[in-house]
Amino acid sequence: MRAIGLFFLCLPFGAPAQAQQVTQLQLLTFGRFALVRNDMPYRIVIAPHGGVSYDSAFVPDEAETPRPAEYFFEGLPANTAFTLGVTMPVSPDGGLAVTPAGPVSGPGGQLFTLSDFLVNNDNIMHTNGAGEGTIYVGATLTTTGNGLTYGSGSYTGQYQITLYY
Amino acid sequence: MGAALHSTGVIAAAVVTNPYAIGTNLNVPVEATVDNALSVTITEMDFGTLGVMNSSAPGDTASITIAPSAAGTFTLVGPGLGMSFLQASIVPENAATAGTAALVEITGAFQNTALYVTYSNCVNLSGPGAEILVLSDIVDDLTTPGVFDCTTPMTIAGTGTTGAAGDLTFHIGATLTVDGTTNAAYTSGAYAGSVQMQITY
Repeated sequence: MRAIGLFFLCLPFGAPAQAQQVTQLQLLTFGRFALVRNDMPYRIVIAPHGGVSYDSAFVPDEAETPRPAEYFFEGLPANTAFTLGVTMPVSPDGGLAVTPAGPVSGPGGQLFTLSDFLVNNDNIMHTNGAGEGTIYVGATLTTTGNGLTYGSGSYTGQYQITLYY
Repeated sequence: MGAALHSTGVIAAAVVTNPYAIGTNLNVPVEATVDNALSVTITEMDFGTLGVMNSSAPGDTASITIAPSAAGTFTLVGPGLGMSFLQASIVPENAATAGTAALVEITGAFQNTALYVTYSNCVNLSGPGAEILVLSDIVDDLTTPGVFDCTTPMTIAGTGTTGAAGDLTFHIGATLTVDGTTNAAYTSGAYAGSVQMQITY
């Protein structure tokens, strides 16, 4: 006869909160260009995965080309789809909002307008089994069209990303 | 989020639902750089020292042309017999010499990019006397040469393409013609004029 030993292993159980983290891998940049006229609004459109189109007033510098933004999210629910809301607020049951925080300004007082954000082509971010997801953000930059020239120099602005889950 | 530990029929599980906005108002920078600036250095066109005889006789004219090239070769038209016979004439001081075509050196442009050059507003060459040397036929040696006769506005620009360093160099030639107002030699001295050039992408 053998004795059967039954062992219970007691383990503490918990669900430690994971820290959500966003890492910018690539800045949204419209590159370097000359602007040869501004008699009407002209646009640069960056697609989330890198396609770029210019209106005729822009002369791009091939040495500094536009690129979409790239952000890496961690610590999110696994295998979840987050849908982009193009204007705030978005539904808090799971969504991603991207919205301009203001114009893109630089030297000389002329502004660009930032609009028409697009994320991952389909406006959806899917997390993987590890709760990680990547978004690529494209947008449109538009001139004033007021006939005034843009001074040479660096123009900067901001937009906001909000992720709800 | 969930996890399970099986132990003698006991199931431990947890599901956390925590509607939460992360990165709220995460301000993200965006940038663009406007670069409308070009650096242009111009070495002026120089016909050197000329002998110039004027003539008011109908059809009696003379001109000198500098080719748009580093060589700056002269072309003389109707040099006539000069002052001795009171015929229109323009001749260089030394027939073996050449002139200096204008040299335009553009730097700091975008690499491998087309540039368009147009000319306007010719100003004839004037000097110490009342005579003028009429400026015409501005021509450059761009890939698609720009040509301006000094009267009809250009409708097609000259076109060149910058190199890998964003540079472009070209020459400009032109023609000088006597003004036909007198039957005398031009007053000796320096004569100067100009033409306006516009360079754009």
